[in-house]
Amino acid sequence: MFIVLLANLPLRIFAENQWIFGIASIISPEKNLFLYKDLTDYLSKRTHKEIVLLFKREYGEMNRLIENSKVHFASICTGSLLDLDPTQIRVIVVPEVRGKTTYQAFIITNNKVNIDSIQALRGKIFAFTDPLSNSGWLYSHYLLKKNGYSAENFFKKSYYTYSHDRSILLVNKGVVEAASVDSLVFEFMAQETPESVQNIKVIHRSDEFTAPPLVASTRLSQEEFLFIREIFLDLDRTREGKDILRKLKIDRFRVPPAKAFRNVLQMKKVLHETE
Amino acid sequence: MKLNSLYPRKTKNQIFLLIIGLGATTMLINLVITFSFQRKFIEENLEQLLSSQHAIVHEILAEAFLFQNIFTIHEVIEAIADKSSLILNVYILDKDKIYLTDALVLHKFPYLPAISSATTVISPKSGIRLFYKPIQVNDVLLGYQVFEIDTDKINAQIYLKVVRLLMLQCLVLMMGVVIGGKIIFFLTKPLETLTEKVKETDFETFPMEIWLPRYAPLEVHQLRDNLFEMSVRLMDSTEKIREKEQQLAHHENLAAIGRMSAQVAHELKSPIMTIKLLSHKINAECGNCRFEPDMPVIEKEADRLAIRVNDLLGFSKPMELQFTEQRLLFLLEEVMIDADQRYGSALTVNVKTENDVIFLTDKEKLLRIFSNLVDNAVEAGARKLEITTKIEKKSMIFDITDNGIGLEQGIAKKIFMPFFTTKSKGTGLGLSITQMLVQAMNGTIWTDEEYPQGARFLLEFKHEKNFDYR
Repeated sequence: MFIVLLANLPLRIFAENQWIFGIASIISPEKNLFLYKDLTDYLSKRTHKEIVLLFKREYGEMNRLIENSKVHFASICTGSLLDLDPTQIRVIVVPEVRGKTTYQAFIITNNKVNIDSIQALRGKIFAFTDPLSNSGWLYSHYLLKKNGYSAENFFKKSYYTYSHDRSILLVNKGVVEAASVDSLVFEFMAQETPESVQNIKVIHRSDEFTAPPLVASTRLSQEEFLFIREIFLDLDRTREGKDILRKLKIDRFRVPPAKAFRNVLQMKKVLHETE
Repeated sequence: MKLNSLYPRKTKNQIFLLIIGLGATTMLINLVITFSFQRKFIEENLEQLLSSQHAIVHEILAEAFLFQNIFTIHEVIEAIADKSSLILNVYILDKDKIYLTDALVLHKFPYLPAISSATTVISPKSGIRLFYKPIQVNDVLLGYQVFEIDTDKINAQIYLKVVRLLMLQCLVLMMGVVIGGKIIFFLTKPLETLTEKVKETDFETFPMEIWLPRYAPLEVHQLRDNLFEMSVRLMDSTEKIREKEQQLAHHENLAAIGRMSAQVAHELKSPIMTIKLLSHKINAECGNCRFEPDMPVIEKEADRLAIRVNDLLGFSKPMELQFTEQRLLFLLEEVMIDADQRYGSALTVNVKTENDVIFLTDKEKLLRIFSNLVDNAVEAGARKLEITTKIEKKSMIFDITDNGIGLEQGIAKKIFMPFFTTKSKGTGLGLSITQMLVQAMNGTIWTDEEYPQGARFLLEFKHEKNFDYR
């Protein structure tokens, strides 16, 4: 059994026979919900605890909840991980998708606009996702910087959509001319709803970044942390787990290597140096 | 004149024309009213509709505006534009009326921004109206939601509706004409039947009996009844006129014959008198001369001539009637006595009567009538004659039958004509004079041609009052 709390509802303090599973919206919550239902049911069964889902649209909000131990564990974006105090969190697992535990940032544009390079993005209407997002903000800023541009006055207008799927939909419709999005989300949508990407071309692909992790807050004891890690790692070994992973389009969960997020950290440093 | 010639003459076609005219007029009026009403309704309600739409999404748009949530802004205006076919596009402008986005993603606002704060602007493009709706929070203007309405499209939709309605109404009108035609045919059939029957009718088929179905209108039934009565009266009148003409012709003939008879009688009277006088003188002076046996013959022949001359004079004499009350039985007795005196055992006369009444008649003429009929029977070889009297309301009928040779077929009408006779002897005036006498007394005489055993004559006299059975 699970109880879902949507982002705008006031936060409740649950007893320890309940664990709060935070989801920072990489894709829209309404699309997230059905994906995570089976997972939370499974987790409940394995942990003998009631698993409560808590969605937050903005990564910053989820980070605050993690820091304040308002959630036991959470799925967050790679970029927002770097905004957290490393002493306050532990990375549980990362997803492996199509044999990789990495993803890329895509710069996408609408077919009808004549943009085929980063330079051609000047004076266009651009969509970011979240200021803490790696693929949705950090990388594109870094890329522009690398090419000698500043994101502040490069675009005609920029918007924040707070979810990758919305950025993709806006580019597909042509409401915005370009966007920076998560490759995993883009490929997921291309597979599930091809018409949602039919007007999109990818003009730039970044290097590989470690996939968005599941992290544990200090609210989980070390024992509990290892326990939950084991459950996630074990998913692909059970029939029920395999079904859940198939729905999530994930092969399995893996423990990331040490320094898995180094390249993202370096990008952040470069960006902050010039600010 | 030409229009008059186009106007149908038949009732059926006139009603057809009426149905079509009324139907077409109603249809036209309906279409004009529908078109006007629809147009007015849409124009009046368009502003209201758009204001409602704007009010519904205003809060969402305002929040999205504040947070620069382009996704929500576009999602909302796209949904509005999709929902209504009247809305061509929805634009979002910022507070300075600079283009932000639109439902169709045109990436531009193709009109000059409204200068005034008017909410409705007619663009230079024909048929386009722009409705500006402000997006604001606590009187702080954030931007504008601009609805682009194609009024030509609205009109086209209205025209389409009207055309559809027109087609439907034409169909209904056609059905009405077909059904109406059937009903008209059904209703006018009696009148047409009446017209045709009247056309076919001639005097030979009078009175005019025309069958009409029960459902025929009352007026048509009444017309039919009136025509029937008229035909009956016409037939009666024509019959009477014919009878009168026949009577007149007959009387004129009789008058002519009478005049001729009088002339002949007058011419013959003197010579006959002379013959009689001279024969009487010769007979007196001759004594036993050799011509003595011939004198009685001469006298007898002279007498016979005198009788014939009297017959002729009787035919020409004007009829003077004298009506007196007579007892029927007494009168019939006199007939029997007269017959007995003239014919003795050669003729047996029987009289039958149920009633003995007193009635008004000219006794002398009536006895003469019976005398002529008795003579006629004897001349036809009858040895028996029977007179039966019957009283019916105000009619007295005498049925006279004999056992003579009877009448030949086809001569019933001729026997009363003057000088008509089937006998070798006689003037042929007897029955003619009898008929004259009967008719002078307002009676009728006729014969029964089918009587098998001899001749049968019937006399009918009408009485003004009821008979007196004293």
